Amino acid sequence: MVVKCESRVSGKVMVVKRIKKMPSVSGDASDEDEAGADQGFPVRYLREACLLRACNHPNVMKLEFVTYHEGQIELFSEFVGLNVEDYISSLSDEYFTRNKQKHEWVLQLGRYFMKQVLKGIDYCHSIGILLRDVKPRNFLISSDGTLKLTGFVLARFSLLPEEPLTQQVVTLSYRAPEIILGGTYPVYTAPVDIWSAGCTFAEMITGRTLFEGDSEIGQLLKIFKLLGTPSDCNKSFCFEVPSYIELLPQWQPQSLSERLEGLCDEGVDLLSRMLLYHPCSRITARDALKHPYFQGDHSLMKT
Amino acid sequence: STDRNEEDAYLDIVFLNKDLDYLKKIQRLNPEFDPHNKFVNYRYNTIHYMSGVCRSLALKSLTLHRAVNYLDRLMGSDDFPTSLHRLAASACVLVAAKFEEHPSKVPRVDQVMEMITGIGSKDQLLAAEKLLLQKLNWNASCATHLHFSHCFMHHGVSHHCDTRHGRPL
Repeated sequence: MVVKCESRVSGKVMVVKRIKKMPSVSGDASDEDEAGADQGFPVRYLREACLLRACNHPNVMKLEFVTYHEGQIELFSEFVGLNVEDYISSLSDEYFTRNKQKHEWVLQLGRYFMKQVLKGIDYCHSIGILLRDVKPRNFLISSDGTLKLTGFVLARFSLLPEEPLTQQVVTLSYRAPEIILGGTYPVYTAPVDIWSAGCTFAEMITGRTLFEGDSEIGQLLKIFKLLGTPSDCNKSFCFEVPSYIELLPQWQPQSLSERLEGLCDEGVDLLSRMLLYHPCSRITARDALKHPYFQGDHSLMKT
Repeated sequence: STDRNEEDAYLDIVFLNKDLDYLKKIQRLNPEFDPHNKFVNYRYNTIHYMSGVCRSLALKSLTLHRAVNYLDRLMGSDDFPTSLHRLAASACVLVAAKFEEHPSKVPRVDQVMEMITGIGSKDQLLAAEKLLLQKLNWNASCATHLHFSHCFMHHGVSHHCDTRHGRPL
């Protein structure tokens, strides 16, 4: 449960994420719930709290403090505002229709937001944090237009040497193919966040989820239909390609510029680099920030 | 070719430094060694005990090193009764495992309890975990010697041109 609150001492407005009351350590099994299950501080919230505490960047939401008493955990963070997903949903179709002035504004907004998305991701990657849940819902918009990254429940420190990680990460629509195809313990690193950021970018421009599969295989089909069935060379992006891949139709890559109507060539180029199958070839957040798409003055015009 | 080799060596150092940068930042949290701290006399035995716990639970070396870092941060600020050293050490292992291990490998509290029979109760272990997290100010990040060793080991066997997922190793 997440609620807005105001400090009686400082008057500061914050949001508090309250995690279900944990059972008393001597409680019976029926008391076990998501948060406690009698295992002390839950792993996922431990990582969320500790990783957020380790961050200090304008594009990452600040965790003010944590309370943990009588089995209840409360994470107090700065109050930011609406998330990007809800903001996109609140815009009318006119904003996403080509040749309308409002669409032009959305294209500018997409660039303005995307730069901040990449700055937040780049910061996290630079301090060794793998986010594993980048999506529009996890970016909050402050009153001054600053985007702040949140949603660290699935994040973790990722250091060398790489090791197999869990497959159950990243909301399906934003999940990179190397995770879906990587088996039970896929090996993946920072490029999975870039793939998710690419999907987020497309969603900000079109107002629709780029790949919306209802299952893992459905998700792959959506990806392959747009980006083409991976060639033999591209299949090396994961260690063990499942045999069913051979049975899929051989789709040719579709034009991203048609799918993202109105987006300039630089924007399409950046997105295509973020959505490369092979993680080795996928652009890094730092390089993406140097991409021509972000060069020059791109301040937002008023509507 | 000598120039080329020198340039390569220089680039290797540049890339190594870049990788070590964030470890150095995190390293600032590490406690300074205080020879007057009473815990110093018990540190060797406590770490030996933690090593045994980690081995029995099949935890990674990085988890042990992380746990030792937490222990030093915990013991550096407080004068713990000797009888509670092992309980605190067990809480450090538990938190380190939660942070470092794959979720399926994180030991259950019952498993840790089997290791500390006669030292404390489950309530005490969970209270120690809570105290530890508060003492760490909810910042469980740390850069141990092993983190640095891993970094150097990778640089020892790779070239600056070697990449993995597009990033220098």
